[in-house]
Amino acid sequence: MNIETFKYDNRIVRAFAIATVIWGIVGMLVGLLAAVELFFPGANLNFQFITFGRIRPLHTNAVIFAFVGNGMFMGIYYSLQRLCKARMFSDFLSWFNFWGWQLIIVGAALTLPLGFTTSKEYAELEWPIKVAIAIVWIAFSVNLFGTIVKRREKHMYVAIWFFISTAVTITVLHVVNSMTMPAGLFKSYSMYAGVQDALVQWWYGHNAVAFFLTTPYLGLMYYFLPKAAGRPIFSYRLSIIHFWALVFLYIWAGPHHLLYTALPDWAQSLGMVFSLMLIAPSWGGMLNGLLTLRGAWDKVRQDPVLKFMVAAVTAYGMATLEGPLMSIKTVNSLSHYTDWTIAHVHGGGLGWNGFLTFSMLYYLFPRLYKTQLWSTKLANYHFWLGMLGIIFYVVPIYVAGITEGLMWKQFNKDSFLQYPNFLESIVQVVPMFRLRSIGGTLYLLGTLLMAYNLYRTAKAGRFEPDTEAQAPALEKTAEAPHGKYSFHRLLEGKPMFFTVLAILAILVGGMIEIIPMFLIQANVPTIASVKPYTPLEVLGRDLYIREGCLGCHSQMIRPFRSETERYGDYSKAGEYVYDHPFLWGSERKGPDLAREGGRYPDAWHFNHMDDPRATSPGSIMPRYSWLLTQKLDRESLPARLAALRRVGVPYPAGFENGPAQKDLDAQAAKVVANLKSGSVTCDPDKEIVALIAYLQRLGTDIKSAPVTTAAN
Amino acid sequence: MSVVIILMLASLAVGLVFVGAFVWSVRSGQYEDTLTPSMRVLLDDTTTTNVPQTSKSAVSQVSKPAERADQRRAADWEIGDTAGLETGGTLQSPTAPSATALKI
Repeated sequence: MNIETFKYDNRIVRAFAIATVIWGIVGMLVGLLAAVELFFPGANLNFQFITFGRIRPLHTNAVIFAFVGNGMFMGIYYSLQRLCKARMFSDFLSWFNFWGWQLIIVGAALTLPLGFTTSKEYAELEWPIKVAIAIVWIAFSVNLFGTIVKRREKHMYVAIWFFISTAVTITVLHVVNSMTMPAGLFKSYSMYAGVQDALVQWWYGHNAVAFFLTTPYLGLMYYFLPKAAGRPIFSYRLSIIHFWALVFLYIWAGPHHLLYTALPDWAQSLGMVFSLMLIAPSWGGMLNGLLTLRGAWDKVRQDPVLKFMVAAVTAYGMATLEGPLMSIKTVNSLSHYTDWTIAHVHGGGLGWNGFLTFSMLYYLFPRLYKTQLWSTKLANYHFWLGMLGIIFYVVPIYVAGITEGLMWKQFNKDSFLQYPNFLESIVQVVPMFRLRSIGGTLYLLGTLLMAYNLYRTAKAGRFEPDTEAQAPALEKTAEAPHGKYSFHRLLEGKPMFFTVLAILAILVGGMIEIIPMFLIQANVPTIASVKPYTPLEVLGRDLYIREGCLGCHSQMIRPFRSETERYGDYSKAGEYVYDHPFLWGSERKGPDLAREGGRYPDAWHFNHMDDPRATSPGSIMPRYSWLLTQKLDRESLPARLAALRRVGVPYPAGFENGPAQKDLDAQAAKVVANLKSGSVTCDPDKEIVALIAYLQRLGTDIKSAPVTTAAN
Repeated sequence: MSVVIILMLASLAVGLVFVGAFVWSVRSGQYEDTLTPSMRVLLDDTTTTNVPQTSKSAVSQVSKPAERADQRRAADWEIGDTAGLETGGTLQSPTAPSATALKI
């Protein structure tokens, strides 16, 4: 037997751990600011870069990809080496992964407040950063598979399988959802339009939750929970079933984000059924984690690491029960667009991802620095602050969500809407928004305590850059007399690694070939009166995207009487064929805008943007006064129209060189004239003109054509 | 809705990759032993509490499960007659992790 001595790389683990703490605090701070802006709209100090619409994606990206992402890498780099009994495949790739990821985060932190966004949730970053993500992710995947190939332990522990599923699936998801047509360095248009874009986006969005926030963390749970408890997982068999069931079910559940929208009904039902099936493996996993502690609950009382883990696994169980329930169409008809969704994701995010990350940090720092945790007491304070934070966050927001849902649907005895003014439902729940920010503050305070505790721990100890270990080399068993010998040779060792890479390459190549071909064909309008946006409206729509309006306003009227009474005719798939990207939104903090066109005069919009509370007392919408003074970016118009034409919008050839500008001037002059009749003076070259033109266009294509009702 | 075809292809491709991986894992004997892997994870750690131990004992700790792993590897290729041997090997293994666990 050939015993080999090797070293585990602790430096890379420490780097990711520090990044996790720093970005965690940053992400939570941004979240807190967003929460405050929801009851105190002036909190942005009328500064456009920190307005809610722009920092909402910053918050989600920071906590998902910066905090949890770094936490994931930290845990994987630590556990994978030990599970494989091997150092990481390549130190260069490890550090490339680390610095690449941090640069991407910095890129996100700069571009999102500047308004460079694709508007697709959790995929907001513009195309140059998307390319960078793909490169760094592939570097990580190669490092992961390389380490697995050179492992010294034949059996691949279940955690490794979870890591593999993350690497493979995120690659595919990211590539498919990122198909965009650049129109300049920081602007691009989705290749998909309308309903198709929505389906791709939520296929991605749901699986980002599944394969970025869930599977890697489950792998980490299966490593760190037994380690911290000092006893094996309750049932290893169950963990294997958990993995394989999850990996085959998860990817089909995406359409549950689009229930009752213009998505075909069968796709909605498919998503709902798969979502419900997910309860089984998820709860199997949760019980497996909790039952590991049977007979060891006394340790939970003493060890903060286990405390955080138990709470995290419980939160996982709660979120994975609630998620499928919310995917039931009847429940979804109430919960969708309300704060219920926000409560759901924060239960999962703060509880499952946050607490598991904290537990890993508390587990790793003393081991990396070869000392004891500086203060167990402080860690316990952190635990309870975090718990209270979660409760103070989710309980008020559940109340808010259900209140909103019920108020939107309430009819009075004469069969009119009980609360015809949308604002009433928001004014009602503002106190809940205030309470929520207390919860967020408590949670953040706990995280700060942890940062201090970990800092003191690090100071007290001595960092061990490499941990020496020994294990026998894994013998190559391909020549074994087994009968299935050629199959083994094909898949085991290096060939397996290359097979996976080859499949990925083929998949990516195939996508790039197939997608444009399919979609240009499919974007033929089915409603004749639906026409492409005019040049001014295109620029206005891009402003709508830049300001993140869709963070609070949906553009999708569901086929319920409560919605058609309030907003007008329900939305149809054919109305969105020129929407690159789709802007349905997922949340209503303000009314739906799908039929906003013609509802109010131009001057109303002007005054409303300048100060929403002047026209709608009690509104929580921020002021957008900079739109009134900033000049519209007309230089980019040709590139934008050309890019849109390339993704299938039928602008005539040469339209962007001359005719488009003329069209734009004419429409801008019209808006200015309308504003004047509303006693508002405005230059035609201001951004607000384009935004008004876009808002007045919304939903009018089919409104004006078949039934000629008076615009109210 | 032709995008559905793309998504189906992508999802099925991912699914097929994992079907392949599953078939490989079963046929290569990854799941023939569903007991020791859960215990082996608990070994091989140089935790802070293990630090005072001499490096000698750490080495012996590492090599012992390694020997067992080797036996298991041999057993993989002779299914049937050595199956009993394998469980014999795994039955002893719980002592090692629980011993370290107690120290923690």
